[in-house]
Amino acid sequence: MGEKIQEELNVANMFDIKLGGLVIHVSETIVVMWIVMAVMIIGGFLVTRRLRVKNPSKRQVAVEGIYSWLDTLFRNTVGEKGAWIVTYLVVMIIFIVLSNMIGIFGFKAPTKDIQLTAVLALFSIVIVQAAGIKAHGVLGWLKSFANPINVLELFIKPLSLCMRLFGNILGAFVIMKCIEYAVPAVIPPVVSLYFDLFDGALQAYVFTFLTALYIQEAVE
Amino acid sequence: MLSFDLSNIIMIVINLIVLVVIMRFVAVKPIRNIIKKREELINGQINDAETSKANAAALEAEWNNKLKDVDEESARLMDKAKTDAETEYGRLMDNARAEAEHIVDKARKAMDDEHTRIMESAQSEIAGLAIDITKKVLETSDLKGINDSLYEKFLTGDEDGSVGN
Repeated sequence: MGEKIQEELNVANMFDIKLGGLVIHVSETIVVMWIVMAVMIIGGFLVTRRLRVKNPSKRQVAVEGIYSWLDTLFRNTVGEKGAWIVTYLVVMIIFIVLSNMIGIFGFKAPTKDIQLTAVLALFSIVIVQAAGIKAHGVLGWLKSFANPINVLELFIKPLSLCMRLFGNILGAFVIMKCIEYAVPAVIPPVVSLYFDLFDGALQAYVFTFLTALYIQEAVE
Repeated sequence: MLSFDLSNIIMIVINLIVLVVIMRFVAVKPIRNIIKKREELINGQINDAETSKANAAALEAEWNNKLKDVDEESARLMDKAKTDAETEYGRLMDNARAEAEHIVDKARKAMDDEHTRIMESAQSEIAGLAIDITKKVLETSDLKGINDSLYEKFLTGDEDGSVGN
C-alpha cells in the first residue's frame, strides 16, 4: 500500500519540449493545469456569451452572483488601495478550487505538487510587496523592513501559504487512498465529498483570503 | 513529490500569468462591464425616479400654494363681492328712497296744482253759472214791475227790501 501511495504521490514527467538546446520537462501537474485552464477559459467564454443588461438569463444571474460575491469579498478585504489585485484573487480562487476538485474526475490534483503551491505562494508574496510599494512608495516599503519581524514575514508568509495548501491537499489525498485501499466500496465517494469538495474549496478560500489579508496589511 | 524542476516552475509561472490574463479578458471584464452597465441603468432609473419624485413634490407644493392662493383669492373675492353688494344695496336703497320721495313730492305738488286748478275752474264755472242764472232770471222776470216795486220800496222807506208784499 505504501509503495502504491508513494507512486501516486510522485509527479510523473509526461513529455519533454525541446527548444533548441533547451529541454522543458512537462510534468503531469502542468498537463492537469492545462486541463483546468482550458475548463476555466472555455467555461468563462461560454458563461459570458450573450450577457444582457435587461432580462438576464438564470445562467447569467448565477454567474454574476458568484462573481459579485467573490469580488465584494476580496474588495472589502484588500480595500480600495488594493482593488487592482481583485481580478487575480478571483481567478486564483477559481483555479485552486478546480485544481483541488479535479481528483473527482480521476486526475491528480496539481496542488498536490509542491512546485505549484510554491509558485502560487511566490505570486502571492510578490503581489503583496507590489501592493505595499504601490501604496507607500519604494521608500515607505523599505522603511517597513526596519522591523526585523517584517523581514522574517517576507519568507514566513509564502512558506506558510505554500505548505498549508500543499499539506492539506497531500494529506487529503493520502487519507483518501488509505480509505480506498481499506474500504473500496461505498465509503470512498462519501469521504471524497468532504476532502475533494469541501476541503478543496475551503483551502482555496483560505489561501486567497490570507493573500488578501496580507495585501490589506501591506497597503494600510 | 518534493522535487523542484526549474523548467516546470517556469511553465507553471507562465501558465498562471496566461490564465490570469486570458480570464481577465474572457470572463472577468465582460462580467464587470455588464454589472457596471446594469448599475448605471439602475442608478439612472433611481435618478429618474428621484427627479420625478422631486418634480412631483415641487408640483404638489406649487399646487398647494395655488390652492391656498385660490382659497385666499376666493375668500377675498367673496368679501369684495359682499362689500360691493352691500354698497350697491345701500346705494340702490338710497336712490329708491330719494326717487320715492321725489315721486311723492311730485305727486303731492301735482295734486295741489290740480286742486288749485279745479278750485279755480270751479270758481270760474260757478261765476259763469251765476252770471247765466242772473242773466236768465233777468231775461224771464218782469223787470218793470220789479223796478217799480223797488222804486216804491225806496220811496216808502221799506227797508226790508221785500217786493210786492
